[in-house]
Amino acid sequence: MKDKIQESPLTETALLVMLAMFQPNHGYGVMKFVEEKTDGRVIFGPGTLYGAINNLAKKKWIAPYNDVEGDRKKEYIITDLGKEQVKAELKRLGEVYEMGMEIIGTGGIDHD
Amino acid sequence: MIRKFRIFLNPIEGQEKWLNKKSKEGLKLSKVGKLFYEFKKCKPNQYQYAVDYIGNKSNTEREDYEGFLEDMEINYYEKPINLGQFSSGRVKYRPYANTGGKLATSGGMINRELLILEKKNNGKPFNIYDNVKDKMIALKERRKPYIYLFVFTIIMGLYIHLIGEPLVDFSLWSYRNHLFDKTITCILLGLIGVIPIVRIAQLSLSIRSLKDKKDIHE
Repeated sequence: MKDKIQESPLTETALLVMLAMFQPNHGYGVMKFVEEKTDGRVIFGPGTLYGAINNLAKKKWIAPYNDVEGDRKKEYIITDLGKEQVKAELKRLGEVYEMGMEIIGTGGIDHD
Repeated sequence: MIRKFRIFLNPIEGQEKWLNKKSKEGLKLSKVGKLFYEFKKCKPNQYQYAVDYIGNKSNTEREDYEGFLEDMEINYYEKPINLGQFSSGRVKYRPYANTGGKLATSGGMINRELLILEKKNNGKPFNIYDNVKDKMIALKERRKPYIYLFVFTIIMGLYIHLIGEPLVDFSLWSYRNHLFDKTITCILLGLIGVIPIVRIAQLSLSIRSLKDKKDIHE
């Protein structure tokens, strides 16, 4: 049942949506979370966010989360499979970041 | 209540621009019909508008998307786009839609090809799609009905030429002159044919400029 970890890079949209869903979250909450965390650099358009949530749910990287009765907003939470994807992506980004810093030589990384 | 009539050759960008201009003048949409719009007074620039194409969605997909928009605190108005579809009674065939959306029935899909989205203005741009890939997909979906309309006019044109029946009888004016009927029908079809050609060209250009970006930017 378990899918292989995705080897190719995730889109920024997919990564940010999954990060926002480490807590149960709905579309509006995801948009607000990402806008705040990126200082307004990323503001999801409704069409983009809708597509991303549907695709991630289809891959079972996020799953519907219906805890509160009567709350009409559709909530999702990241799955274990999704968490593995996020970890793999952060590792990849970390490697790219380190390599980049090494090359441009500002030495901005603390290794301890 | 202010009522305005308006038809758009460019139903997405043209309509978007017009609605945002109205908002600047202090008008908020209150109702949308086939060709008319009703506005209420509001503070200038209080709302932002964007237009989405949903003619490719099935009824269930549309309802799901609308529910999502409500969750996003976005108001929406449904609007028809009368292009490249063939109606018969209460069923409309949309060859360009996804599976499940091809046969639009009166139950919910006819005349709901466009969604006008409305949200409170927060001073930031209101884009439905915010990355290159999504923008490209949306443009390609929007191009489909025009391609079908174009193919349809060509087939109708060929039919008139080969079969020789003018389809439309203009005998009232032409005293039953078939050649005259044929010419008039061809001119009319030609005029209809120009619209999809122009739109296909415009959309293809936009898609191509995005393609160059796609390999570098998300």
